[in-house]
Parts: sequence; C-alpha cells; structure tokens
Amino acid sequence: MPKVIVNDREIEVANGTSALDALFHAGFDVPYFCSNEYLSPVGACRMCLVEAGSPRKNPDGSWMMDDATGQPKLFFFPGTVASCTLAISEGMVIKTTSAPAVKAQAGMMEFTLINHPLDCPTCDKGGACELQDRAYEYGYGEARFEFTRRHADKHHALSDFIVLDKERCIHCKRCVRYFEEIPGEEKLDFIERGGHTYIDSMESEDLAGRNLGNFSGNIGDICPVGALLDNVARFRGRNWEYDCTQTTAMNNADGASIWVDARTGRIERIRAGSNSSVNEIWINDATRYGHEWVDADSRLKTPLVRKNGKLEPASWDEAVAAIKAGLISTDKTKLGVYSSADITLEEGVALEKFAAALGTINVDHFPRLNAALSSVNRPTLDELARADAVIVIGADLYEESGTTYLRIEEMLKGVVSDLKYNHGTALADLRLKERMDRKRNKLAVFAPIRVKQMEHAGISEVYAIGGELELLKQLLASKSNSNFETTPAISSAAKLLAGAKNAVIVLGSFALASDAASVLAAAAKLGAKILPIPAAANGAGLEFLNLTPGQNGRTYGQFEGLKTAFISGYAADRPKDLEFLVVHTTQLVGAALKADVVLPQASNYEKRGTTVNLEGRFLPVQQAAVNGGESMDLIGAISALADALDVKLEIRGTRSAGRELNTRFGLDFENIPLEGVFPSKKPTAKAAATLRFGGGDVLLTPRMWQEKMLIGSARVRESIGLDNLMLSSTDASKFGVKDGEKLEVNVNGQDRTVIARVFNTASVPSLPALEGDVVGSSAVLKVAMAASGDD
Amino acid sequence: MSFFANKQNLVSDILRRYPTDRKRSAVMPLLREVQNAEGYVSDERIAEIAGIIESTATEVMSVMSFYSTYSSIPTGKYHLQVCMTLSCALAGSDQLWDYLQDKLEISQGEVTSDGLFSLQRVECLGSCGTAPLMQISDAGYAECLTKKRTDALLEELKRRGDGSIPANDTPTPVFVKHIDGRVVQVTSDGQIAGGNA
Repeated sequence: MPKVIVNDREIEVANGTSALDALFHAGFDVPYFCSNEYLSPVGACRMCLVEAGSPRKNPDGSWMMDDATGQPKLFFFPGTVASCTLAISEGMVIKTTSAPAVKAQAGMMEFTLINHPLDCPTCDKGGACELQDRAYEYGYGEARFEFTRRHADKHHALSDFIVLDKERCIHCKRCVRYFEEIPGEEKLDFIERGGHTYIDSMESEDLAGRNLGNFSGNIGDICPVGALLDNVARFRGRNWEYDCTQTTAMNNADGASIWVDARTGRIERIRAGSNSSVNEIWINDATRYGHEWVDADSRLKTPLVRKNGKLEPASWDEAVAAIKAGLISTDKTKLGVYSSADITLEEGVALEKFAAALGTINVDHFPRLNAALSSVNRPTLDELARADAVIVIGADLYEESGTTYLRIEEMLKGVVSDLKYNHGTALADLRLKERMDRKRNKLAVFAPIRVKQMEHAGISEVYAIGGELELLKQLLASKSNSNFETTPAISSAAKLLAGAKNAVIVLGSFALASDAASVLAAAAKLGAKILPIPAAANGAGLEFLNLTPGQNGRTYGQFEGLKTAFISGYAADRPKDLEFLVVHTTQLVGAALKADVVLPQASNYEKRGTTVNLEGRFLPVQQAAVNGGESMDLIGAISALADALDVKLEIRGTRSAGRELNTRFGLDFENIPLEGVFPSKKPTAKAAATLRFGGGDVLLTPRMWQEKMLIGSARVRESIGLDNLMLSSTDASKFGVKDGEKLEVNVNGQDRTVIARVFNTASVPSLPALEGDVVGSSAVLKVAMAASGDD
Repeated sequence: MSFFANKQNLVSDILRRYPTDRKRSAVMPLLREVQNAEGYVSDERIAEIAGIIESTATEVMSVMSFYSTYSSIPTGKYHLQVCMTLSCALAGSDQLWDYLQDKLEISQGEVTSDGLFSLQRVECLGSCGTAPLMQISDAGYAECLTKKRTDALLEELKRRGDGSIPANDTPTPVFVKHIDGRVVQVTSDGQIAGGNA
C-alpha cells in the first residue's frame, strides 16, 4: 500500500484513498462541511484545505531526486488544495498544520461566516452544530466584515416537516446531493447563484401530499448548520437539554438505528442513528416524525376498568381486581392470549411462558406470515447492496421497508460505502460520484400495482393480483429454458437471474400476506438468496418462540368459540361472542373501546429488550427517558394478569427473560451490540396457518405511516391527508364515485374515510387499491354511497 | 397550453445535438426558445421542458435561475439590463439606474404599463471602456450613457416600439489616451468617444 506522510506521521493507506481520509486516518483533523460518509466528495465548501505534494517519476520509472537531500523531490500543488477530492499517491506529503494551510482554513471559515447570522442562541442546531464547532476550532475568532450581512427568508417551508432558514445555509450541497444519490429522487437543487443561492424544490405533491418523498427528514440530520430544521422538533429544546438514547426503531422490521431525544419526559425529536451494516445513517420519515402519538393527549397512561358500561380510570390494583372478577369462572386453558408482533423478544418469551403456565393453546402474535422467515437462505442488507441481481416481487419497499429500498438504490450505484479507516467509514469515498450511472438492468420489480421502485428498475411489470406463485413458476421455467414463452419482463428477469452469481429475491407483503409458505417454497427453487419482508417489526424474532396456536388453537382474528381473551397491541375490533376482554394498548381506539379492562401499554421507546430485523440480526432496544405514566410493557401486563389468575410466572422482568433467551440463542442478551449480532444457535422457527383474507374486492397496499401515528398526530394526519382509494375509471363508475371524492368505506368490518383517486391508465390494478396499515391480497370493500349516490 | 406541442421539428432538432441518454443537456436551448418567444419562462414552461428532457422541474429551475439571461417574470419589449459592476459603478451606473427608474416609473422586475420597458441590474457586460452602459434585450448595447443620451434613446425606442434598436453610435472598443495633458476616451478609429461629449 502507498505510504503517505501527514505532517510528521507516516501511514500506509490503500490506493484510491482521499487525502482527507488519509489525514484523519493518521490522527489529524481538518474542518469540512460538504463531505459525508455516504455522499460523493465534491469539494464544495473548500474548508478541508491542506498543502499537498507528491514525488514524480522520470520517464524510466525512477523517482526524480532532489540533489540537495538525495530524497525523491516533492512537487507541491500551488497554494492549498481541497483534500476531499484529492486522491493520495505513493510518497505524498500532506501538511494540515503548516502556516499556509491553517491560514487558508481560517480564511475560508471567515468567508463562510460573512453572511451567516449570529442567531446561535435561538438556533435548534446550536450546541450540535458543525459550523459552530469548526468556527471555534479553526476560525479567527472575530469578524472583520464591517458591511451589512445578506438577509433572506428564515422560515421557508420546504415541506410539512422541513423548514429552511435561507440565511444559515452555507451551500455545502449535502442535501441536494443526498436526494439524487441516496433515494434517487431529485427533489432539491440550488436556485440562483453566488450570494443569492438558496435551496428549493419545484416538485409537485404526490397523492399523499408529500413533495419531498418518504426520506426527506435525513437532510436535517446531515445539514452541517441550522438551515434545514425538523419542523416537528423545532424550538422544543436545546441540544444539551435532551436525554439522548440510541435504540432500534420498531415501526417496521428494518432494524434501523435511531436516537431518541427526550426532554422532561417527552420525546421531542428522533434522529437517525448510525449502523453501517443496516440503515447506514438514513431512516424514513415515519420512523423520524411518527413519534408524536407517544406524548399525545390520546395516549393511555392509566388502566381503565368498565363500570356501569363506561370505561373509568383505575389503578393497576383495581384493574387486577376487575380482571380477577371477570375471569373467575373461566377455564384458564381456554383463555386466548395475543400480542402484536412489534414486541421485544423478552416480552415474547414472557408471553410464551405465561401461555404455557396457563396451559392454553390459544396463543398467537399478529400480523405474521404462515411460514418461518428463517427457513430460507436470507442475505444481509450488505449482501443485498452488493448483489449483482435483485428481483423484487410483490413489494412496495418505498412504503414497507425504507432501509431495503435504500440499500437497493445503493446496489444500483454499484458502490457500497464500506471503506473503513481508524476514524470509521471513509469521509470522502472517491468512488462515489454525483449522478452516477445506475445499473438499472440489475433490478427487476414485479408488483400488482405500479410501485415507486419501478421508476428505477430496468425490468418491471404489473402482474395480476394474487399472481405471485404463477410469476415465480414462470420465472423458474424461463430460467431453465430460455425459449420458454412468457412476458418480456419475466424472461429478462429470468436471464438476469441465470447470469448472476449473487442474486437476491426480495418478497414483500403482496406476495407473502396470504400464503407465504407456498411463495417462499417456490422462490427457493430459483437458487438465489431470499429476503422476505416480515409482517411486523419483530416478526423475524418471534417466530423462534412458541407463540403460534397449538392444534385447534384459535389463530388471531379467528376467535370462534373463544369466551375470554387478552390482546396486547392495536386490535381493530372486539371479537364477537367474547364474554370478557382485556386489552393492553397505547391508545383508546379499536377493540380497546369495547374492552372490559384496558391496560396502558409502554411504547417501544420505553422498554429495554431485543428485536430481530428482517435479516435475522439481533438488535438492542433501549429505554429512552420518556414518561409513560403508569403504562407497562407486556411483561408487566402479564404479571398483572398472572396475579389476577393466581398463576406462578417464571419470568417477571426483562432480566429473567434475557436469561431464558441466553440459553436458547447462545447470546448475552444484556449486552447486544448496537450494530447487532447474529446468534450462534437458533431454535427451530415455528410456523402456523394464519388469518387469510380472501374473496374480497379490494387490494390493500402498504403505507409507511402506521395508524397509531396518524391518530396521535394531527400534523402527520393533516400532512398526508386521507388514505387514497385508487380506482380504475370502470370501477369508479361501478361504485358511482368521482375523482377526489371523500368516501366512507368499510374494509374487513372497519369503517374508514378515504379519498377516491380515479385513473384512466392501465397502470391501476385490476381491483381498487386502498393504502393503510393492514396489507393483504384482498379484502371486502363496501363503499357507502356518497350523498349524491343512488343506492 | 403547450409551447412545444406544435414545434416538434424544433424539439427533435435540439435533442439531436446531444446523446440520446443525455437529454438533460438540451435544457439551455429549450429555455432560450421560450425566453425569446415569450420574454420570460413561466413555471408551466419549466415543467414542460422538464418533461421533454426527462428531468425535474427543480433542475430546470436551478439552471434557469443561475443565468441572468433567463427571466422567471414577464419582461417588456425592451428589457433594459444595466451594468452595475465596478467600471460602470465608477462611471455613474447608480445614477443611471435611479434615472431610469424615475423616468420609466418602474423598478426591477416590473414592466411599464405600455409593456415596452422592463429593468434589470446585471453584472459586468464586458464593455468597461464605454461605461456606463446597458444591454437592450438581446438586440445590442447602448453605451456611454448620459442623461441626454438616455432620453434620446428611450424616445427612439418608444417611437420604434417593435423591439428593434437604433444602430450603435459608439464603436467599440474604446481606448484611454492622453491628449494635450487630458485623459480622454477615443474609439479605435481615433475619434473622441461620444460619451465624453
């Protein structure tokens, strides 16, 4: 490896390393604003100025020598150069602390600060601002600029979630590059030039009312100054007042790392955490902004007990007494115990042990698939980003799994930001370029509706609803016989698969919701690694526990014959025929409204534990400083239930749950590293039949925002508007609805208000498509006729 | 109302100048067509151009706003672009700017009620020898502007009213010479430049 001398230290770094990374690797520091681990180095801010020189070679290959010293002669660049865009070479000398370099850095800092407002005391970035830090470290310390500063709009709303303070912008271009390079959506650009330059977007809003897409919040994280501000967290606190906790997001199965910043017991802000193997430094907007429900007025903070037909606030003791009274005559072995699948493994194992202690076979977690995800050969997300062919089937990853979406975008660029140095991931990876040519022909996307990722895929096709198995069959046939007659897209995808060494097939909810077992089996025949998207945050972990119904046990959603039940999590409606229902939830909606006892549930920001992401990676969940009132996690709720039922529990806390899990997985559950770990041993995963939708007349499509986020946040609700019901013009006339009309519909027994979107093109699915929390192949749609309707 | 819909020959002629996978390169000539025909480029036209070059409206706007030769707001038949850079500033461009504003009763970004004139401050027009000066639309320069010459010019432009301008009476370049101990501007043919009259 080439030797490089930085100031007085000699180091060896790989060819292609930037001078910026070489000098950081050597333990030195220069200021920089435009460089970022995952963005192309462009030399926009001119802060990382150094003196650099290299020896040169004679035509015969020998070094040009300096006669005076007998050493190879150094040829220095005139003046100083930006180290982020300079590649190192053998024998290069980099000076970061010489007088010209120091003066150049301080001089650039002075230019950067000329028009920067001095409103740090009221700036949300204050105290965590790269410009502040760098000005303190490298600036002159005083301003010589005597003239009027440039003034500009300080409250320029780029979207409902992002406010731009034009005065504070230093034009580093990180946000502009981010949109083009990471999600591949060119949303922002520089407008005007010189001192008048500002950032803006001309992009029109999509159906959901978003003009900057699902990944817009990340620009606030990477902004080195206080120009791009999180509108949800704006003016909520100073950086040094926050209790910052790094944990794993549990709104989907990505396992993205997040920082939860809380103050006075409230979550004020969520930022992306860094996990280079999973989400890198990016999260989607629901993960970032979808936290207001935790502290909303609608959040349940005490138990509720039904008295005289009304739910009244009560203490936990009263709740336990009410449960005891309600369940006194019940057969413990018939009690149904259910939990949503976004709980930690610790909670899961506690539920499993509780069900075992009761002796009930009516235990389940939801939503889940009818097959074990670990039964297929799964790639890691890094392997996905390095794949030479990716086939996405039945998934809208833009909504379902933001991390998977972005890692596929990374695959299209053909460069994974994996150069590691003493200081971590390369700050200026010279392989990354602006507007890189994307290898679109390495990506095939098949879905029953037009999905976002199709715009970036070389091969794409909309298939008939429920056609996943047929599609996989044709792919296999076409792969083994290139003359097999099929659609051009399938035959191109089969060719892509046949020629690939590291192919990955991603299967999403459209493909898996109704019969994952058959689809996974069919996909496995294609000889590629398979990445199925779990139905819920910890679906990939809970499948290792005994949380599926025993023989003749009642699956979640099919409660026939059940008299008493305990449901933890959001359930849409009270199961019929139930005599007594205990619901453990965060908001008084759905089934909780009709429950006999409601227990307040701790949110996933308020617990410690472990979750498993879609790769099968075990990740830690940490407790943030959030005041959840009297709410408890599932282990606490089970303890209350056990008290009421006089059942002795083995697991009464996270620690004892962790000890039980230690023996099963051979991991130390007290010390799971933040970047996650794959366990040395895995119990056999359980799978069982699940509730199936069928015979319906609407396609349910995934939505990034969860129902509870919408209920708990007027801002989010208002921003994304009502859910869209996409209809072909034929269906629209069948239902008698017009484009843009507000409709009352009933889906699977649930009333919802939606907006009709009528399309004439062939791109709409063969059935009406409705976005929302629940995803399934089909359901029963009843459109309540609009006022003008006739029947 | 589409601008390019009935100009498919023109569009394909412009696109032919660039590789088929680099349609974005056609942004400048397309913007120029609209600017020349309509005097400014509206948001609607920006969206139309973005569609043609398969890019985003944001990017077209970014390119357009970078260049002062494209306008995002309507301009008059005679778009007067007054140079404000150093040489012109020393020669009185500020006074010229104020005089034009008062005389035409408009400021930057406005158009006179008769639709004839609009004003814009621009950076160096590259004719420092004939400061102060302004560019009239894309038709040519009016140089060495004094009040008197400005009045005469505006009268002449009003009389014409068709976008044409009178021939330039100040041949360039202009040199500075010492004649009889005085510093004077002379044109390349040895005549004392008109602006000093």
